[in-house]
Amino acid sequence: MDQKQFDKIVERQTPKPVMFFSIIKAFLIGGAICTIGQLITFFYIRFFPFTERTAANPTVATMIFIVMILTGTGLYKKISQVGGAGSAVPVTGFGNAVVSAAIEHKSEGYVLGVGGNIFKLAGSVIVFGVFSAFCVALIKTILVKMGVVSW
Amino acid sequence: MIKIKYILLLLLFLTACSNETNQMVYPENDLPELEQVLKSKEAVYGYRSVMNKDDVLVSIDIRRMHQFSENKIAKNIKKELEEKFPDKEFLVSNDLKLKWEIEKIMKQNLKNDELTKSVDEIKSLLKEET
Repeated sequence: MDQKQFDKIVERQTPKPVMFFSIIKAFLIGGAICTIGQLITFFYIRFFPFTERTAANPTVATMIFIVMILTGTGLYKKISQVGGAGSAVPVTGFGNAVVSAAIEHKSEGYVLGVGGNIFKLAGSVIVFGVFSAFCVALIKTILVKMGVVSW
Repeated sequence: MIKIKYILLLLLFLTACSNETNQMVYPENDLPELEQVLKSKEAVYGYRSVMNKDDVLVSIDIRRMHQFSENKIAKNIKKELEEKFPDKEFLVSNDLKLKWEIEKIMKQNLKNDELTKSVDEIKSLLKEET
């Protein structure tokens, strides 16, 4: 059996991913996470002295706290198996990446294990997040200077 | 059959319920020109306003497609109102907190000292950046 034949057999055996249903599932799970986030925002605006502009920070903190508990109990793994990108793209996916790395390397000690590896998965998010924010700010500054948009 | 179900589900998710528009000023009939200015704006479909001495808080509901330039609209309305009433200080915003706080004031029918206190509180809240 040569490589081509083997590849053919593998291709026949692997189940085909159902794109349409995956997209629907990602949409529903991602939408559900964002709806919960929006409800938490409304909760903070309604019952605490936060405005729409300032309520974002406590909302993100609360969402990450909830995900921390879900990751620790192993529930977020089940959610992300169904939701896929829908559970990875919101800030909850970032929280999950940080907490799961911390749990994984706990046995290596708190300083070199947890401290050294906590941003192993989420580090790229921070690097490219900061870089893209810099690029967007640069573009906006140029547009403001040209008089196309205002701050 | 399954496809039809999904299309129906999508329709249900994508169509939203619309709220009733609300146009209220507290205390009533104090500034009729204010209502005229707000009613003339196409982008604004609802407003709530509270007046206390020289401070006027105006919360506006901006139509969906105009929300991209919400700050600009609020700024323009503020400018227009300040030109009409130079002796008053206006705070125009489409922030949900402002809307809910004004509704609370209307519901509780606050007067004098209590009204001043809550108006000052709202003003300091909306100035906060972080």
